[in-house]
Amino acid sequence: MIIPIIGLLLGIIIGLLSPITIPIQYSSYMSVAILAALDSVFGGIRSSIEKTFNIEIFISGFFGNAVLAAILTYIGDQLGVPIYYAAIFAFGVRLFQNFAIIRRYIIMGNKKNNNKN
Amino acid sequence: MNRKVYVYYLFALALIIGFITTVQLKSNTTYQGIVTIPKLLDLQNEIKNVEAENQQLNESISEQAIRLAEYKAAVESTGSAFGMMQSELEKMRNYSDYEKVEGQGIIITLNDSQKEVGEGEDVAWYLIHDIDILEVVNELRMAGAEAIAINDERVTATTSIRCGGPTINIDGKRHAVPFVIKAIGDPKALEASALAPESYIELYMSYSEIQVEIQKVEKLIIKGYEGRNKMRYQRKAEGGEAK
Repeated sequence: MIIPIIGLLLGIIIGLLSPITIPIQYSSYMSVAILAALDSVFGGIRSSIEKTFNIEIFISGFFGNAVLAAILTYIGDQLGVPIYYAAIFAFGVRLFQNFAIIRRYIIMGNKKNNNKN
Repeated sequence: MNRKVYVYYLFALALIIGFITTVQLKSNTTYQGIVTIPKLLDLQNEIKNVEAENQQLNESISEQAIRLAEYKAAVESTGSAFGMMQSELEKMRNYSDYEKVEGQGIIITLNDSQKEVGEGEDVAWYLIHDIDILEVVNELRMAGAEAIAINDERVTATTSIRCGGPTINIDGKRHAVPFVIKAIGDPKALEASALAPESYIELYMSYSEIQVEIQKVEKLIIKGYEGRNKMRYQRKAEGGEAK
């Protein structure tokens, strides 16, 4: 558990120190990709609690979702239709769903532990 | 499952998430909202206006650069920009009718009609009025007259020509017949406009037999405006459009 957090902090530090900024026209792609990545993270946490965690599924979902969301945003930009709303909506809904399930597992697990004691 | 390996995967992914999120936050992009078609057109117009303004400014820059080069050349050849400024002032004065000018043109001499006043006729019909002078001046201007004087009174952009009883007041000064109107410009064009079938002279003045004499001159000298400066109230406007 400590190693991913170290990775996160390291990423933030690199981001702060690096001179890279995203041009305004690509910022929507980036935000959708971040949302997709966050969705994968929540899905990963949920599956690890369910003990069905599979690293290949997790990694392919992480990158696949981000790339698909970015592609959808691009197509939407070309067509003049804000398709990336669909990505935001889908990922947002799944994010909250996963969070709700994680919440339940944690609370129910605590109760079971309390009952045992 | 070998736990060790996928911990490193997670490390890499966490690193990527941390990196892109920080970069995104750092680029400080404000949310533009939904870009609707009217908004798009508005923005397009704005861009167009700014581009037009840019172009104008660029043009004025190149104009100023040319003038600067002229000044520089003057300074280099004579040691000062004074001569250059003087010639510029002269040009301005020429343009605003303050300077004595010469050139080819025509002289129109108008005199009251010598026709006998018939019964029931008004003597005023056979006299020259302010409106006659105004019309002739206007026609000369239309034919491209560059400098006009009436009885050696320079006609400027603000000159008034008004009836003063038996005389005509030009810029407040009394003038009587004969009226000698001098105009610098293309003599042929000026003469043609004065003699054209539909011209004021042909249409009205010939009817009352007012004496008109038109003379083409190779070298005509017209005096500058000698009255006081009339620019007392107007100021240079501070940019922007009138409201």
